[in-house]
Amino acid sequence: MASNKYLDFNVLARMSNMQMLAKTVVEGFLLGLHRSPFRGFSVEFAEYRQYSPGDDVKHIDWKVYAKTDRHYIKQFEEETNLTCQIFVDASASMGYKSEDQPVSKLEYACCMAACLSYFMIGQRDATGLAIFDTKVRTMLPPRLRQVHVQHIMSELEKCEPGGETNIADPLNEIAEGLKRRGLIILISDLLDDPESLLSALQHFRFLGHDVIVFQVMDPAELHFTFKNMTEFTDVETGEAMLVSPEGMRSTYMKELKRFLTSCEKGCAAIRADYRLFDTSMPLELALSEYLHRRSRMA
Amino acid sequence: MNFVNPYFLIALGAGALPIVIHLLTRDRVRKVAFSSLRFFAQSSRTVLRRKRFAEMVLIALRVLACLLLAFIFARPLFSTDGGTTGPESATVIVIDTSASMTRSVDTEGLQMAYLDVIDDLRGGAQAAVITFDATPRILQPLTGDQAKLRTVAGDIRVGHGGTDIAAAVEKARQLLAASDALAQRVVLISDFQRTGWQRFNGTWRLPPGAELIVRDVKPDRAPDNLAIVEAQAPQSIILDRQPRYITARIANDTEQDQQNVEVTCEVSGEQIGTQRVQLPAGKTATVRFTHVFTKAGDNRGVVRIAADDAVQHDNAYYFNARVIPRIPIVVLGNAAQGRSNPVGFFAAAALAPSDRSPFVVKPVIASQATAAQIDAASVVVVADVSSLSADVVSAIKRLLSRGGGLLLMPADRTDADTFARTFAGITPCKLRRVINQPIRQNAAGLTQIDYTHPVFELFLRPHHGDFSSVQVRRYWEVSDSQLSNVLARFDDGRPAILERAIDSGISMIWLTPAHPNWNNLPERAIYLPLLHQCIRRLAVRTEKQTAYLVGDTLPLEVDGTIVGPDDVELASARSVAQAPGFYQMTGENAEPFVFAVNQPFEESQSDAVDAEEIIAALEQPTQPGQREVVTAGFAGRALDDQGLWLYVLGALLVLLAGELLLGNRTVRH
Repeated sequence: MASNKYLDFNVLARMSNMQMLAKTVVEGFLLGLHRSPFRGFSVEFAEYRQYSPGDDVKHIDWKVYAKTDRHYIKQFEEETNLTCQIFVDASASMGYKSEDQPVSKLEYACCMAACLSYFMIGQRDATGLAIFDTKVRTMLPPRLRQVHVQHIMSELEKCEPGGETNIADPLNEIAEGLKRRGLIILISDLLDDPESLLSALQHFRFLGHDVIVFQVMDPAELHFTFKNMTEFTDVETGEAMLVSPEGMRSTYMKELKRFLTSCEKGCAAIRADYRLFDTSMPLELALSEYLHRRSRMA
Repeated sequence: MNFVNPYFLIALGAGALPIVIHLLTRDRVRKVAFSSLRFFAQSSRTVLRRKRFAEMVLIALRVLACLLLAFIFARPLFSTDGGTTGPESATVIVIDTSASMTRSVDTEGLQMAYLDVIDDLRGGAQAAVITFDATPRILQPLTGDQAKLRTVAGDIRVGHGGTDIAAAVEKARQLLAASDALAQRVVLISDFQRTGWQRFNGTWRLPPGAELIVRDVKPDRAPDNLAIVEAQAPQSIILDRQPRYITARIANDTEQDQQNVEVTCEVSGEQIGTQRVQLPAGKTATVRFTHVFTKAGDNRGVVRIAADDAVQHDNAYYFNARVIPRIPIVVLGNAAQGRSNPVGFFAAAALAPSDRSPFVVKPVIASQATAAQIDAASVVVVADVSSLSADVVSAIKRLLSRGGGLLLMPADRTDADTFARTFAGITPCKLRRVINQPIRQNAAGLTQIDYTHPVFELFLRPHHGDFSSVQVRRYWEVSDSQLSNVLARFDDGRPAILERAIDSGISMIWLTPAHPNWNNLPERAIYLPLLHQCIRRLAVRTEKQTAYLVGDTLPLEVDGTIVGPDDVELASARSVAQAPGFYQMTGENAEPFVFAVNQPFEESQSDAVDAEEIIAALEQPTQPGQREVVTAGFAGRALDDQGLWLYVLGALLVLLAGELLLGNRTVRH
């Protein structure tokens, strides 16, 4: 695991000191330090109870039966029953990286997804991963086993930017397949139609999922630091446009602000958490800040 | 439009600098794969278009600023004559071709001096050529054609006329005034003879900034020369057989005494005298010849020095003593000459004291006078006559109409009314009554004499007549004299002598005639010259001027031709005497006539004026350093008149301010 590309142990060390609490109680589970109120068949023993028809016979403690000639079921305390599905947008726009940035938006998003999944599985939360552009390219259902982390990491390592952005369709497609309510984390630049995007997120909310949206942007996108006459090419559509950045900056910033505001307000409207990251921010700080904020909200 | 510093116009090329800089530093279009164009897709093209337009305007402003800067340094000047562009410089070359120049340079040398000036002219310069003696002549108006200017050199010849430097330079000034050249100058090629500068009255100067450059062709040492520097001979004389004097003053303009210089005088081809004079160095001597002209008409004469010196034209003096017949006068009296007709007697006696009188007097009794007698006369004297026959009066009127004269002398036998009727229309006034001065009182005298009148101008100088000795006892009081000219008055202010122009003639009246009972004029010496002057005034004028100077226009009559001393006929449109000698005028309707033409005497004088004196008199005073500025081609005059460059500078500042404002508002990238 130490060789994993996106696993920053410094980040993980800092995150281990943090408590992550689920914002909403899904199925009565708490996130982070809280133990689960549900008991199940987990690793830690909780108590015995008398067998009743329908219970799985494999959970019968045969030693107790031998001593008492009664059938008792061995019960274990389950740490959590939260399932988390991380959605990583791998559209072409996520592949943008400005000159002075070390990582692209997609790389940043993958790193963020790796940290979150490792952290959550460490917290005994089942974590899944979905990578999509116009359609779902990779789908790993939520699992609790440690080996699942390896699968997630492997998929993230292979992740490359793809086609155009179409967030709504993949989300809607996946939402129909998720049977258990859980946590939905969307990591994307959200460069899609805001209405369809919010509609898809609203779909998750309607199914009872808790939704967190991490919007990842490059600093060049946020501050539009270009100076010379530039021909911009849309990486998704291939459309090119000659732009005078100095003359365009005020218009760009106004449009960007309007877009970001619409995203933030849209998320708030559907009671989804929204957080904007830029790729210049240290990843651990971003996660720590978020987790800290999450803990306070809890 | 002109420029003070035209070389700065080279800097107009700097106008391309902003364009070059723009091309060199124009935006290098970077190609960037960007995540999305959704945030600037709408307004990018508008911004780009606006930016490019602003950039074009900025470049235009900067180019214009560079051009204006070069423009300002070039110091533009606009002419006021409709904006025509003037030459860089205008030079008027003024060349002295007077007779005195022969002592300094020959024609070829003068042409070489002129060509030297032409060689010094720079490209783009205009030049004009004026030759002058006593009269300036424009040989070539201002032109920039060098070939034409060089061709003109063949027309420059040393002549025989007088010298008037001031008139020539003033003509050059007029040419320069019509030019809008930046630098103006006058090049004066002359020997700077002092007499040629004496006519300058100091009332004008060259234009401000105009430069006067002098080229003195006078040699360091003038050649030896003997010359007639003054001469006098009769021009028009009456055939009175009186001896006439012909005088000449000979000058020795050498450093050696001249002994026995032979001077001869010829009249009508015959030598009438030879004299030998001693001429010390630098001195003059006068010779005088006496001759009685007996031949009517032209009498050609020459006074000549027998000298073989450098200048021959001043060794001869030409004259024509034109002898005209004596003036015929008819004296009309009321009786035969004698004591019974004192007025007629004293008039005839004064007019013809001997047979050498210039007048031919014919006394006629008025009642016997005929029109033919009057027609043959030049002047009619009416001596105390009241009435005349109508034919005689008509004849007198004809006499007046052809320029003759009538002298009225009313006295005791004149009746005022009859007089008025007889001489109505031809008398200067009407007679009213006779005023007798009482014996106890002092006699009246003549006062308020008009000495500017031709009759009395002879008596103006001292010892030329004393009218204070005239005593008048009786005189006529007159009326209706408003149209007449009063030549003299009596003590009481009443007119004494009146004259009035009648047609082409003159009618004159003495209101106190020469009569012992009326005044003492017959006893006074002044009577005879006074009467002679009056008759000369009244007579038909037939005298003509025969003496002319080189450069003068000879009076050419209609259908007449003039042949010069070199037997070349003068052009009828320009009968100007070009050389000394005799000029013969002939023609079918023209009276044969000979003009004697001499070169001006002052041309023989060698005194020269300092050229710096001429420069100081003609150039405008300049401040220190101003002369150099003008010489370098800076038209300070026009520059002072036009502050155009200040306006251009203001425009430049406004332009730069606009560029600054627009540049700050325009994004660079």
